[in-house]
Amino acid sequence: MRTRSILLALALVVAFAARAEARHVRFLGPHPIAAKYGGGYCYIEAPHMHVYGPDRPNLYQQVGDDYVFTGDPTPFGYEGDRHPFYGHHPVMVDGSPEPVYCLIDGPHFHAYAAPSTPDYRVKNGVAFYVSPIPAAYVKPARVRVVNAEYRPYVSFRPQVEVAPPPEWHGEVYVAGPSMEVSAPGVEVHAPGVEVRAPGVFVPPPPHVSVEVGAPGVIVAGPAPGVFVGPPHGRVVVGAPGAVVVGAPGPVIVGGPRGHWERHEEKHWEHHDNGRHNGWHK
Amino acid sequence: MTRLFVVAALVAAVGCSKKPTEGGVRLEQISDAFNSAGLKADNFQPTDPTRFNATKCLAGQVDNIDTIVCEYGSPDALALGKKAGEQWAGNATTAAVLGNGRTLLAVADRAHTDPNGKTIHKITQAFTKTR
Repeated sequence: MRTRSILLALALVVAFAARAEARHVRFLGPHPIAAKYGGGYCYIEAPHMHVYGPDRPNLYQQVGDDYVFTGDPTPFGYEGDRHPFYGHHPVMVDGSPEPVYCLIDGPHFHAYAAPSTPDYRVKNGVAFYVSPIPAAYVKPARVRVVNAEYRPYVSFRPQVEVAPPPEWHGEVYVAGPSMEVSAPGVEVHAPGVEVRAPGVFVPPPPHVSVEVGAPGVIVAGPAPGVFVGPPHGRVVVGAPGAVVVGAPGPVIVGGPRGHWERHEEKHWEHHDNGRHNGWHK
Repeated sequence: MTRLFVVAALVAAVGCSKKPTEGGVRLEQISDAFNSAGLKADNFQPTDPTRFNATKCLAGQVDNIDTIVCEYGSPDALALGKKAGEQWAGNATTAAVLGNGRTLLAVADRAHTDPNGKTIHKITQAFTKTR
């Protein structure tokens, strides 16, 4: 009888422990914190676990059991260095057994800089990924949902004026509430642009495809204007903001830049500056 | 007197040699890495290593985060130790269990004192960078 009670108690302990472990959700790299746990941004780069899952699963790529945040951290309370990218590219994450891709159209930030490899061309501080991305990772439906998540956050994007490198074959992102095409040889295939102030709503699919027949085509948008230069395929309509792509003139990389507040230094204040001896001395 | 005993116990637990040992990172290097990163290790005491399939384990707090560091004789034992480390983390808001060489680090923020993970990031970074 006593043995049976002990075994039952042990089984309950094991079951409880397993359930407690199962509650954790695994993350690789930094990510937004769930709103019900205070929101903000989690800065842990190493593989780690939380008792909550992602608030916006569309902004994550699942790698095995782990979630990898692939988006721009700026709208989610991230404070730190930011580096402008343009279009889709691989995500820098340690410990991932498979490639992870950011599918944000147009200009956006990441906390990491593009690596110095031939896969990237950095023009005036803006990184363009010029190598092909496997189609399996760039499914149109996924691209749509990722960019739909970022539609309310247009003001967080960097303002970029730069001509994409010729080897780049991404989509040109055009920010503006409406478009007027005034160039020969350009056809806009879109059922129309519906304006719902203050943003823009493009009925599905959310891309406006512009077939550009020759370089130097000007697509006139609302002030201050949108200039699309390179003979690449598509124009993606966003929301208010100024993006000039292709103009060979001056280059401006702007947007609200973050600053690096070393909050962690508060922990250093309590440190005895090396006078304590650690546990092995 | 108690403090002296604790120090003596810790020295006995991790060994006296500071020389890097063959086979990877050892516990004393982890302690040095935490100190160098400006992290404050508190109340570290030997804990039952069999729970983590380890040969030696210390439990304490690093900047108020519950922390376990263990040393292993083989990579297989370390893999088992990681599972045990995840169970030890229980339902802490945030936890991480990592291996480096022959050592394991498990951290658990049970009191939600590190809401944005910056402290755990410093701890895990100091641990993983140790060579």
